[in-house]
Amino acid sequence: MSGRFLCLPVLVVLACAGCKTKAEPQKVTIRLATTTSTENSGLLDYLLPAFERETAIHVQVLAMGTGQALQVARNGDCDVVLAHARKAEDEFVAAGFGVDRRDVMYNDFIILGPGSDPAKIAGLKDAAEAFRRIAAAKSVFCSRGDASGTHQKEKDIWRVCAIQPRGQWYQETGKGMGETLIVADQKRGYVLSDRGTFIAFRRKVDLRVLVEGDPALTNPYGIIAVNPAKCPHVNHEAARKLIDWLTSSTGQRMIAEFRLEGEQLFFPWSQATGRMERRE
Amino acid sequence: MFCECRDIVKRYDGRTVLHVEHLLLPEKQISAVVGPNGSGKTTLLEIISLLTRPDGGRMRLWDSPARFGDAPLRSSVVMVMHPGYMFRGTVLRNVLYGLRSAGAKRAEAHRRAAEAMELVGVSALQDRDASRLSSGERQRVNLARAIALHPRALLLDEPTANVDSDCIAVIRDVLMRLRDQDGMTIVHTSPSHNALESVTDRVTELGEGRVVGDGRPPSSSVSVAKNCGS
Amino acid sequence: MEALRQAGRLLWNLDAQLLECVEASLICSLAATVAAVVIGAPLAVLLGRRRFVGRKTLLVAAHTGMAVPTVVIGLVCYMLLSRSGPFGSAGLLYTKTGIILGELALALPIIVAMFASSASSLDGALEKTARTLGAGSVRVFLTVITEAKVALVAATMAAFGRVVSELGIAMMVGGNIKGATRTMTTAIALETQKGEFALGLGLGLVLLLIALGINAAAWAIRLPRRQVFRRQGSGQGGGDVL
Repeated sequence: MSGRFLCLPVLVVLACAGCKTKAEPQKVTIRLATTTSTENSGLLDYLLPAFERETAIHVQVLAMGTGQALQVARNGDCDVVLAHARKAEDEFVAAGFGVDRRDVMYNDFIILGPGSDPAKIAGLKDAAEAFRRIAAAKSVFCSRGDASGTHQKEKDIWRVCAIQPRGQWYQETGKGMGETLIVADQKRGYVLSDRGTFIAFRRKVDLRVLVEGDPALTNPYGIIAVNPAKCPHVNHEAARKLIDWLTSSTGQRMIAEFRLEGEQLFFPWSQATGRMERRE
Repeated sequence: MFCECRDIVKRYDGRTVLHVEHLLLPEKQISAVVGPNGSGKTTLLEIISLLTRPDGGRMRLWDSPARFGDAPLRSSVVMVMHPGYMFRGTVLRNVLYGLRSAGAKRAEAHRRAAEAMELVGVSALQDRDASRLSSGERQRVNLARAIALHPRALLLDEPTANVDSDCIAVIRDVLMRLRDQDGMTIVHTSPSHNALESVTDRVTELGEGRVVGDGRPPSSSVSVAKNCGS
Repeated sequence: MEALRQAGRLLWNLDAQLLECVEASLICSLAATVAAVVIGAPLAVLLGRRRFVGRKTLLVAAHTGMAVPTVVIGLVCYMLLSRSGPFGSAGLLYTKTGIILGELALALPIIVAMFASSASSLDGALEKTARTLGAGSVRVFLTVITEAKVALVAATMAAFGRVVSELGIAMMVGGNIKGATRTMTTAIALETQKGEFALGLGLGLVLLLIALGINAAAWAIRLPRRQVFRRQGSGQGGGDVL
């Protein structure tokens, strides 16, 4: 009967599915949870193959929002997490979910806005002052509004200028960085962004870099291994190897070498401080 | 003795549709169960065919106790329902249905199917889509697929309803042949005056679910009456 | 349009990453659909043709199950399959098998709800006819399926369509891991988020083409002879009706 013809290809597919899902990596595999902006920058696509060549450890990258990445790590669904939200990272370690946090690299945030710059912040070297002017002018400001590293940095700056942003002008998109840039572009508003996403979106949006270089706008990245005491099934040894490699001279050099659209995007931490920091 | 029923009761939605205190149906004869609509004829047939579980009572088939769910026994009694449900596919597929269920080998199954179709005169229709049959053709296919199984007993519910007179003649002849040549026990339900009277050996009358008359021979008018439908 | 060009380019080059995504999508959605039919068809026949306590409740549950957002199913599956959850030790999170299980939860109500209603509309004499002709329970069930074949194929296609186009489950349970659990839909979401709208649309077109191919194949197999959608007693009609 005609039904029988359908059975055969379907059975073949099922057999393949069975084989595939079981034959998935025989090699050592660990999972790295990180933010979408980190993954989207392409840095990991550049670094991880080299790591795999050296150590034969395959790293699966889970890219999601910062909040989600840390939650996933808390649940023990990954072996190591790379984030750029210092406060949240510290909380994570303090609560006992992570061990061996190390600084890996940093880049910076920039304040973008429309060419018309109604709040007149162009060229400022003080992020807090820029935010003050935006709030005073009630110019449209697009916030991530999620628990991301960018959003936390934004909240830090608002706290410094002692302003609670509220009103029609302050819009929380609840979206990723790229999408928020597009929203800001559409609404001709201001937005705080990491440089990497901006470089990637430069041609798609008509936003200008208005404020940069303020030390408060530094965006440090930390890598933390999930605590094997809390989650015994994680491959702590392999996670350690990844952390060591990223903070080694090889890893740090490759980070510095990485270019996005011809620009250096990430700065290795070892350059900044001259030595590797270790924090539990 | 084909069938003996004692205190068979069936209720639907709290209403007693059948209560047969005692009924005997002989073997190798054509018996009729007659009565008006709603007298419980179909229900009685379904119970005897072991298709419906009665709510009370005992039944014996061929001198051994018979229970609903007794699959081997059920295969000896085949019921031809009205109207017949035609399965998707051709007439041949319908006639082969029971044979396939019984696990008959392909050649044997086709042979018996051909035999049955020949008997009722639908051989020429075997490749026709079963949904495209006239009511007479359909009834004959209905009959053929039951006959193909060579059951010990054949139960037919209103076999000549909605069927033209040529077809009635065929059915009548077939039933007679099955009784005389194969010794098949046949029970059919029909309205009180029906076209099968000339071949019926004994009549049981049902009224409102109860037996009101039993064992009499069919009425003396042996005319080949046109079926007046239900 | 740019999207069409992107779609063309992807297909022409048979981009390796694209193939991985297509493979992931097909494996997950086909496996989930087949599993849903294998589990759901008997359930649907039961719900459609037998009377028992709780039948109405189950039917309502099935229909409601069709309205659950995929993101919610994804979240629930994540919580169940997470290491911190009850089934964590099975290690199914972020695997294709995990996605298949989640998508099964999506497809099953569709099969059950749609097929139950079709099965229930079949003539009540079906089972009795089959049984008196000697069919055992399994054969009776298979006969119900065959008689309602058209409806089952329709329900299957609906379930497949839903499952191949869903995002929430593949994202939450699959994790969008390149080369492992990146499906067509999660790839589209990723490219959209990166602002690569044309590429996202291009991928979408590829997905539609694949779905079209599968549906066309199913239709072709279903109609070998020009069968009319049948109702008892009518011999009329021409053409194929679904």
